Amino acid sequence: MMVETRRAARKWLALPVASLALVALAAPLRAQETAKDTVTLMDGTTASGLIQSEDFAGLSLKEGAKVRVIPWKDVRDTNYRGQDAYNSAREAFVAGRYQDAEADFAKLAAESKQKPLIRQQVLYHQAVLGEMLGKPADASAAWHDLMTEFPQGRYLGVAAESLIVEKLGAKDFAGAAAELAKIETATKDFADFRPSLGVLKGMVLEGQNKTADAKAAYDAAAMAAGASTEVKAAAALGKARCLMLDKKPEEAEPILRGIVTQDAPVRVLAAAWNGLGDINMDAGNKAKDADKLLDALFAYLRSSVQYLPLPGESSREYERALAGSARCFAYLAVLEQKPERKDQYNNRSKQRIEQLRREYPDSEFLTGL
Amino acid sequence: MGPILLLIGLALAPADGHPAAILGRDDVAFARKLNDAGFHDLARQVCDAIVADGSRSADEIVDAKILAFDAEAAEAGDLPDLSARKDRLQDILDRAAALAETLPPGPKADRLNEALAGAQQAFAETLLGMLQKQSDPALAASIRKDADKIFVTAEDNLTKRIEATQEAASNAQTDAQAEALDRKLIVDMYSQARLYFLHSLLLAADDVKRRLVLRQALDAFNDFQFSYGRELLAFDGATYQGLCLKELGEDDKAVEKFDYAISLREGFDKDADGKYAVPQDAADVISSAVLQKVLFLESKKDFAGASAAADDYVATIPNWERASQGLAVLDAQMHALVDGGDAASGFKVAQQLIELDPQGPWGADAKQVLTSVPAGGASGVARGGPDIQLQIAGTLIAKGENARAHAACALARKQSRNTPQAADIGAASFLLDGQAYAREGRDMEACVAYDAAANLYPTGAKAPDALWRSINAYSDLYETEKRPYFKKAAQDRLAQFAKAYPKNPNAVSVSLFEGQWDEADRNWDHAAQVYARVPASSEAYGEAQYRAGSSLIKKAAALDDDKKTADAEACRKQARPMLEAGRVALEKQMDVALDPDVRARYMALAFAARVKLAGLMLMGGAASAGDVTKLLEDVEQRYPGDEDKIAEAWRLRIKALELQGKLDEAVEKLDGLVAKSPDAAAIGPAAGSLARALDRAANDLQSKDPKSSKAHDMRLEAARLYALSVRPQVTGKAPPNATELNDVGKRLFALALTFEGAPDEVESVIDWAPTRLGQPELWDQIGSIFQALVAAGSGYQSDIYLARVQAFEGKWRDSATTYARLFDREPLITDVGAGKRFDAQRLKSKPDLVAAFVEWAMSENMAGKAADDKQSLSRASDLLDKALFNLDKNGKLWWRAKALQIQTMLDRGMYDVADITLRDVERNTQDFDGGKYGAKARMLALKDELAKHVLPANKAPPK
Repeated sequence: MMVETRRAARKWLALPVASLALVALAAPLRAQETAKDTVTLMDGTTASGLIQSEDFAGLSLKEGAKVRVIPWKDVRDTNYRGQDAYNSAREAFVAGRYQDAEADFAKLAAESKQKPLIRQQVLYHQAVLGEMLGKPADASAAWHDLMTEFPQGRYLGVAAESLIVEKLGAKDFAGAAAELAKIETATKDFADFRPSLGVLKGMVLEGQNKTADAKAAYDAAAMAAGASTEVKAAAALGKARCLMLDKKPEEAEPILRGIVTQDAPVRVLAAAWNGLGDINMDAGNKAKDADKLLDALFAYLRSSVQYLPLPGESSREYERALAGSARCFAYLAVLEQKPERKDQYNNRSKQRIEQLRREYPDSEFLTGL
Repeated sequence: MGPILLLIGLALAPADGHPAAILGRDDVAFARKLNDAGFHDLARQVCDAIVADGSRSADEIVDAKILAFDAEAAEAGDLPDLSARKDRLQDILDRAAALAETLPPGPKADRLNEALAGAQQAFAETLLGMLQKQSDPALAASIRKDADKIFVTAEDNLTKRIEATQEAASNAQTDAQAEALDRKLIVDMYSQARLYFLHSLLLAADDVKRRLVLRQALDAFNDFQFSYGRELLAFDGATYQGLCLKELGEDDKAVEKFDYAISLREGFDKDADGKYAVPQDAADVISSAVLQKVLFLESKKDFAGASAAADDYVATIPNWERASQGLAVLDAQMHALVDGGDAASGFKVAQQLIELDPQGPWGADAKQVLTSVPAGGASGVARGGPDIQLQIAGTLIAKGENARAHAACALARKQSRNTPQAADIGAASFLLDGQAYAREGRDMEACVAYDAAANLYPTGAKAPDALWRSINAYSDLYETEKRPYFKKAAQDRLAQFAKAYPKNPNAVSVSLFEGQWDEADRNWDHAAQVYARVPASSEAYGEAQYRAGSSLIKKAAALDDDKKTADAEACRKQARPMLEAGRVALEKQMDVALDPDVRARYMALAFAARVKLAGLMLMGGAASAGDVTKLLEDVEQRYPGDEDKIAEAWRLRIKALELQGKLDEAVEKLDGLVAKSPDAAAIGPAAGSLARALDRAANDLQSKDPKSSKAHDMRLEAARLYALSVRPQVTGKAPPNATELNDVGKRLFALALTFEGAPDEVESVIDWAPTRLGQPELWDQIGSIFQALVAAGSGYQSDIYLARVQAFEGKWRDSATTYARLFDREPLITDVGAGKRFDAQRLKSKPDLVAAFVEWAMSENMAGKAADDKQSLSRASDLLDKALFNLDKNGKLWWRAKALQIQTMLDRGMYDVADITLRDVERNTQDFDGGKYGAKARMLALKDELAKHVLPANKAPPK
């Protein structure tokens, strides 16, 4: 085809395009329908089919006639087809619009005909939101429901731990023991959960200051058949904590150093660094040793910089690290002789306290700061 | 444009006032090439020179005039002020139309018509832009009315010309004649159809005429296609028709037209890979049609259809991204996908856009989408992958949203865990974390993040860079805090770096850290030894020389402090050749470095060497300040686009010229920069430096000769430059810097009062009012500065200054409103129970609110009088009552308020009350204020005024 071209042909009116582009930006969102559930795996690939259940050990995906169980360590993300309301609530949660998410999940929780898969997710998000929004009673109720309705479900470990930690946090050691007993009864026939239960037992004993028994429980959990890397690291961490309670930081420190060199879960690593921070801060403060305090400071910063929690994950260690770094700066300010440097350290301390107050206004670690 | 032409164009740029000097042979052709290459101003200069040259033929002059219209219209299109652009284009259109009247049909008339069509299009776009920005419906209607008239005239003229050409074509005697007339018809008919379309856009959506004009456009494009269907313009016209049909609500037909335009590709051979062998021109037309189709389908919520149309375009057009609307198509697809709920696919397209247009508007829009759309998208399905999270993090850091950036980095790490990308993503994400912390001044967190990159992901591509930054950050901490802890940390990491990355370009600089730490310890001699150890053959030589010179300058400053001036001078002398050697070596390295990061580092060091050298030269006074100009003359060429460095160079140049007493030359140079690059970011800082230098010089002059007219002229120039220095902030092109705006605004306010001849102590109109402003534009500029401060939520004093400026300008209602808004926010009477008593706490913290309160009353009074607004006058009285209740009797402000109170009573016709009040003052004071605050004269004037309205007590009323 012969097409004659002219200079004028290159002159294209830009304005309508621009004005239309503005219209384009204003178009509303439309949820996309997908034909199948999808599971994004850790290696970046995707598996699709029907997600039949999400249990403590892994996710059951039906692909054609086959059903395969994918362990949680291999799963990065899940998507459920035709669940626009849940997806929308989850989107609000991920985007940090927690009030919207809370309302959306409450609506979903009130629905009577909910798929168990979605019901489990809704309860989990309600529990996490309750903790994030400073509503411990709501959180506790949701964790209980999750434990009751899904005794071998995906979130069994985190639900059990949260319930115990809540009681321990309130210094209700008897309550923690009672909670543990309930969990033990509910999961007595569930062998996979036993090592995790051992760690929880150690935590309750630790809370009761029965450090010798706690250490034994932690050791037992770590040695138990089928104990995962996470359970082993958590048990080691618990043991180090007990040693610190026994005023044996020199014994706790090597255990903690051992943990931070492992490929352990983020929250365990964060806790181990915070433990090292505590040990060094205490030593530095007693000895008026600025270098020790700097060691402590950098240990806390490891936790707050390197092991940041993602939305939905526990922020406890992050909060603890912010508070620890604020204290270190304050102690360094005390040791500092030069007034301008003293001011600088005091300001750095205030900056971290303000950050903690802004991000977690109800943080337990604000006490005493 | 070839490189030779480019060089000629550049050589022509600083035209020196001798127009004939730029002429030679084939000048019109040369000017056309310049214009086609985008050098519109130069093209116009050449054309103007041809027209002014008496020896040129009439033909050549007409050609030059026509080309000048084209160039001028393009130049006008670059004017940022739409109103100014409209006026300029209107002027061009008027002159071009006048010339058209004088031209017989032929190639010249055709070319002029083409130029006219281009100018009309630009004119229509400008009017549309004005309409879009116009919030006042009355003004918008007025613009539409004017535009309608202009377009109707232009359309009528084109219709007549088309008819005349058609008649001439039917009587053409030769083939050549017929062909020339045919070409003219093609241009005119297409222009007319497009003119109708543009005209329709300028009419209001509910205007019946709009539909009629759209139909006219459709018919005109149909006629064109009937006559010239094989022309590329016919396909272009089909896209316009699609837009017309869309406006008319005929959706199906609109899509048909877009598809017809896209079908242009089918006339070309199809390759094995499914791509049509379309030339660039055709690809441009197709890209425009696809874009409109995508946008149209999206507006109809057919998101899948919109995305499919874009996919089809990408799959079938070779080099699709180079077509005029190629990237716009991709951008529209991105929005369609995101709006349609497929955020994951939208993110992928966004990433592609960023790769194709990293620094341009499309890349910027893609980044915006990445950071504004929740990662889960509407479906909550697939988040953007780790690469996308890093893009998001980078964009968030640029926006200062560091907390979100850290979360995105953490998510990227989680997503890439156990994948082959893990090391690269991990190191890059921690590097970003570190950069974000460093920006916040949280150096220790930055160190931890950089360390994490190097320790957890040592094989990641960014790990060496992160570790290098960690070394620098620890070293900086040591230099600041002198704690051996940080030096040890830096040393440990240096050893780690040397072992892990021995071939990294930064490895050569490892040895220099020792010198830097010596400097921090003020161990100058050892630092010098360390730097001197680096041989000229080493890659680190340039940096070592720079650091050696820099270290000597620090040593000199220390010697100055110890009053060892001669030793200090010797050090500075020794430093100069080192800095020069460092600069030369570093700039050579900068020129050959391929890695952008390495190049950026050399650039930073080389420029720092120049700055240090300039500093040394300036310390030498006028004698060596002249060297600064030479040293910095090529900064714009060596560091193009680096606005911070260019601004610093300007600051140093101005300082040098100030030392030499050549501020006029500095002004001239700056004005040259403004004329050449009005949007250059260096203008603001340079104008600010120069304004302050002029201000200082004027003060010096005035201290020697209080009546110096030169000092006055210098201050006028300073005022102009002060205003120029903050213009980007005032016009919203740059974020407001409250401190700078405040300083400049207050200085300009003081200067403006001086220019108006106000007595020294004047602060507001209650002290003194000009009969007529001598510098109205300057007052407007000052008002805009304080307006910008108020808009930015600056302190209460900005409101006071804004209200004062408005009062001096006689904008009394505006002034009263500004004061009212201020006192609504900062009420002086907070406790109603306390009656009229001013809040003591507020008075203590903001004492200047009291004067502002009286000024408010005056603005209400003047606004009331101007508009015969009794409420406003009454409000003034009320404010004055409250003010007088609180003010110290017989103080300056009390007398001002008292006189204003009586004046307001007079203005309200309350003569008896005013009379009693004035008598009361007279009775209770000794000769009023005795002339101390100028109140006595004012009171006597009021007394005279009252006498015209009130009978003396001892006189009987006339019968």
